Amino acid sequence: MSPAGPVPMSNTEHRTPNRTPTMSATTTAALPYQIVVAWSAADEAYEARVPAIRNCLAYGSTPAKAVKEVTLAAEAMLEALAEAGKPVPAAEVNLDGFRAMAPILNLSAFAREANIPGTTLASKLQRGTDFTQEEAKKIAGVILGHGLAIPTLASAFVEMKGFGVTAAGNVLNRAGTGSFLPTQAAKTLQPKTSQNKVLENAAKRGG
Amino acid sequence: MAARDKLLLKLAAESSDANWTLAEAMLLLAQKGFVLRKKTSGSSHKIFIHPDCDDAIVLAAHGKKIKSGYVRAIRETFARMDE
Repeated sequence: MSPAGPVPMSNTEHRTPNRTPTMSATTTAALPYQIVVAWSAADEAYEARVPAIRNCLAYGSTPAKAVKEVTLAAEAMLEALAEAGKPVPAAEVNLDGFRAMAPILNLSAFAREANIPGTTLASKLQRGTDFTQEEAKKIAGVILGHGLAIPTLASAFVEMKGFGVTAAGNVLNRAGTGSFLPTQAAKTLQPKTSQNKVLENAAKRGG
Repeated sequence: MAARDKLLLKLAAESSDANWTLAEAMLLLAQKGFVLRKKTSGSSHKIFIHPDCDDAIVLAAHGKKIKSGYVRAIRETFARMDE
């Protein structure tokens, strides 16, 4: 599915952003949640949000800086929520994709790296039992740590409230699960979209 | 008019979203019962937790002012709490 709203930005536009709202979606190895970045004309800065964590947002003068800031904010919010005994959103991991890949994975090595008992991992995969949030997070950590993404089986639209646009998000699906597509992995596993190019350009500039 | 009422009026007036200081937002949150979480990392983000609300609120100052997205988040959270 291709978004209708986002507009590709050149390096120049990146410094002097277009008035048309632009957005992109990514995840980082440190945070197994989708991050949505958009230019906020009202704030004259890039606004990054983690839709899975309500109220989690941060700003930056570049998309990369906004992502960095929102990652820090999300980590602090998750820590605070857990400490206060509040519910913490599950990691956005496409476990269906992981299950599909299981027959060709070295599960013992994977379990060791994820710090999940090998028998538990194998048993849950064999029986199709749900992973706990903690297990899902560990699995995501291993996969992201290796720069590997499991493409999502379903795409959906993510509404970006406050910007008046609805753009395609290539991560979340309606069931609340999704793939995690680190920018690096997205380069090789996904067709290049305008959204990915925004973050790629920012990453190249180190900005 | 009490300071709390003034801030609530300002919050209701969406046109003022770009004119909030960090101090005003922190005062409003405190009056609503949100507690600033003690920082454990070097992050500049301030996290607020309410005993009766499952959502945390984050604030970060850019100078004295805060960006409008933080104000919108406060407004939406208060609305959910008052439902």
